[in-house]
Parts: sequence; C-alpha cells; structure tokens
Amino acid sequence: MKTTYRIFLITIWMLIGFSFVVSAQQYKIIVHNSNTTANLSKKQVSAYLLKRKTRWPDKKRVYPVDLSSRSSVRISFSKEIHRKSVSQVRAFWQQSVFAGKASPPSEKNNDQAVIQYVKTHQGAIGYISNKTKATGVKVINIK
Amino acid sequence: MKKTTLLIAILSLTFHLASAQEAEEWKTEIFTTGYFALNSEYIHNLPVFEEIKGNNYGLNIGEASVLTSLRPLEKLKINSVMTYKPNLIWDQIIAEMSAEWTFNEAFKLKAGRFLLPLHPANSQYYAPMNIGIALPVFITNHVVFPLNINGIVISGRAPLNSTLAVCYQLLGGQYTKMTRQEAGILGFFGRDGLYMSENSQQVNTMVEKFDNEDDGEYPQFFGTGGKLCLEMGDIAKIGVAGFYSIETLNTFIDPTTIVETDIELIHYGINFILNSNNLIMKLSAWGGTETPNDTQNFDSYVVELYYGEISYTINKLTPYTKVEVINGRMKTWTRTSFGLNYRPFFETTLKLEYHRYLQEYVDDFDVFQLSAVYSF
Repeated sequence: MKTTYRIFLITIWMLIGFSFVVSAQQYKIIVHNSNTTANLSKKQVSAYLLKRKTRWPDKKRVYPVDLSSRSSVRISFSKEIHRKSVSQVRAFWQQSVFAGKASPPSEKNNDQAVIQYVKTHQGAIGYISNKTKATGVKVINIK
Repeated sequence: MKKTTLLIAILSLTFHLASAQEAEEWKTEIFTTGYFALNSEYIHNLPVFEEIKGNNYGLNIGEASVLTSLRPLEKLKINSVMTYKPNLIWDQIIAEMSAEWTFNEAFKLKAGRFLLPLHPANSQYYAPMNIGIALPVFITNHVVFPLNINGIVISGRAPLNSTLAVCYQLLGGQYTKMTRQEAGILGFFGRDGLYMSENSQQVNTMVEKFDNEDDGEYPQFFGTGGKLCLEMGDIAKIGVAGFYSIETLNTFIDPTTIVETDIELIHYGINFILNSNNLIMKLSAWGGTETPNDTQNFDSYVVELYYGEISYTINKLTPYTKVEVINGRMKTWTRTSFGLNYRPFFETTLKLEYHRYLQEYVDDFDVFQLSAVYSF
C-alpha cells in the first residue's frame, strides 16, 4: 500500500513539474542597448511586433524583427504574445499587405541573426530563445 | 521657363535632401507575396446557361496574384498587384500600381491605380482577403461604384483618444466601366442576370451581342468620391461614403437608330465592420440616383444596395454567410451564400461555397464552388 502511495505521489509531483516545464516562457524580449524601456506588457510587445505602434516613447522608430515561421520559439511567442498561431499571424500580414497597410517585419533564421539585427538597429525589438545568451542587447521584462 | 527650371531644381533638391536624411536611418523594405487558386464550379438547374455554354461545371485556375511592396523611404510606399483571372481584360491584369507619400498619419497622398476604398467588399477582390470564393454581385456587375480607379486619393487618420479615431478618404480619377464582363471559371458571374430567363433564343442573342461588343475596349469615365469613418480600436469601424460620376449610356430606339446620353450617377452609403472574438460582421447599405440627360429615351433609376456578411472562426475553420440585395437598373436581385473556409496552414486554404439566387422570374437554381488557394 505504501509503495502504491509513493508511486502516486511521485507521479503527481512529476506531472506538476512537467506542467511547469511546458508552461515556462521559452523566449525573452530583446531591444537595442540604448533603449530606455525596462518593462513592457504582452499587449505592448504585440503592438510593436505587429506594427500597430511604430514609435517608442522617445519617438525613435520601431524596427521589429521576427524569427523564422518554423522556429519553435516563434510558435511559443505567437501563442503567448499575439494569442494567435504563427499561421494566423502570417495570414494577418498577408491581409495587411493586400490591403496596402503594412508589410511584415524582417524574418531571421536564428537567434544570433536576431541579436545581430537588434544590435545594429537603435529602435529594434525582437525575441530569442530563453536559453540563448543575449550578449550586446538589452533584455526587457514582461509585466 | 526660368521659373519652371528653378521650381524643378528646388523640388529635386528637397526630395534629394529628404531622401538623404531618410537614408541615414531607413532601410529599404521590399516584400513580395502572392497566391494562386484552383477553382471548381457547378451550376445546378439553369438550363439556359447549360444550353448556351454547353457546360455547367468546370475546374480551372480561378485566380493568381503577385503583390510587390517597396518602401524605399519611410514616407514613400510603392505597391503593385498583378492579377490573373479568367476572362479578365489585359488592362485589368494590373489590379493596382500606386505610390503613396505619407506626410503624416493625418495626411497621405496616393497616386496611380488602386482599389476604390469606399466599400469594405472591394478589398475582397483578392482570394486571401475574400472569406468566400465569388465576389459580391455588385462588384462583378459593376453596380454603384467601380472596383478600381486611376487617380489620386488623399487619406488620413487622427486619434481622438486611446480607442477612438477618425479617418477620411477623398479621391478622384478615371475608371473603366466593364459591365457584362464574364467572371468565374464558367463565365457565369458578371452575366448572372442574363441567364435567369427561360427564353434561350433571346439570351443567346444578348450573349452574342455582348461578346461582339467585348473587344477589350471599355469606356472610361471620371468619378470622384469620399469617405468619413470612425474607428473604435480594432473592434468596430463605421463609415459614410459617396461616389459621383457621369457616364454615357446608349440604346436602340429602333432597329437602325442608336441614341446616346450622359447619365449622372450619385451614390452614397453607410458601412459598418465589427471584428470581435473571432466574429467578423460587415454590413452596408447604399442608395442613389441614376439620372439621364435624355429623359425621353432613357429611364431614371433609384438604386438600393444592401450587403451583409457574417463569419465566425473556430480554430482553423470559418463558417460564413453572405446576403446581397440590389434594386435598380438590374431590377431586384437577391443572392444568399453559405460557405466554409478552412485554413489548416498559412499556405493552404480550402473554401466551399453555395449560392442561392432568389429571383421570381426563373426556377430555383444553385451554384456550388470549391476553391483551393495556395499562398506564398
């Protein structure tokens, strides 16, 4: 009986632990080192990435950058920040382009390319894997 | 002469300086996208159409478009859309080709060819923008206003507070009147009303007449219009719009005599769009008058147009319904449509659409359409 009880407890513990692993944020938001913003809400990040907001509070132009649509980090980012699948976000951009409104941000194949882009563009905002070291750029906290 | 040279020099210098200043920060954006659609159509229980066309079903490339957007400066955007559709005249293959200069958000100037921005359904000209497959009757039959125009538009948007904003558009230009142009892979749409008759001989005569007239040379007219709208965040948008033009109309008063007149067209309407929690609703009501100079040989008409579209997205599946009512020169015209739009991936969209025309002067008939759209 004791063994069954222990197995039950271990199973519950593993399930809880696994759920934390699954729900843990897989990305971090990065901006240029000169950017004075420290915190952003998910809604604000979404607005910058979808070009609904095109200027930072200090009036600098926003340069959003996306990861490739095949990236697992982008899948997680889209789901949590835009509350949409990557396909839905791409469809949004397609509609936006055909409506003559705006074109999508440039896409980079990997985290290093995103970091490089953010380093070289003052108003840039992007996201990379949580496991990647954000060298030379500033990490923004999500409120 | 000196003044002109000086003006050109100043303008060139200003543009060059503006470009140089922009170039310090701005990185040229270029973006290309497109799609092609394989469509299938089946028309059930319309004997006259089957008799004249010899077919009531078909499978073909229904549409293909390539869009290129170039933004060499932050304030300058150049857009072009090349579109193929069956039976489209060469001139209309360039659906859009325009350059827009943004002075600020409240004042933008666009010149070239562009879709007329007065009604939300005009943007449905492109398959990814259209929840369904067929275009609204008033677009394929060129009722009330044209699909696109060659001219200029001044537009802008000014926020009133964090959620409300006003927007406006003022435009003028030349447009091509392409009534009776066949649309769809069977060539049914655009001439839908023609086939709703039981007299096949009379219809055949009209079809031959239209085909003979259809030499690709369509008349062009000048029109002007505008729109004033109120945006409530991304959730709702309401606008009032109008379009004014003078066209020419001709008719046979006897078998050998044709008379022509100018006709003044005044159309105005209200559009409403709701986009909330996966529900999208588009409603519009337009009206107007079509008054000929020669009232002896031509009739005046009062035009009414009602359009409604509701869709609701559940994951990747979007069921929708559309209804259109038109009263005017084409008599009363009512079409209801039901459909399913399934987009499992960005690249692939599958659509199924059913149309029912509710006319009194023909037996009930149905139109079924199937479309597979590949986007890139």
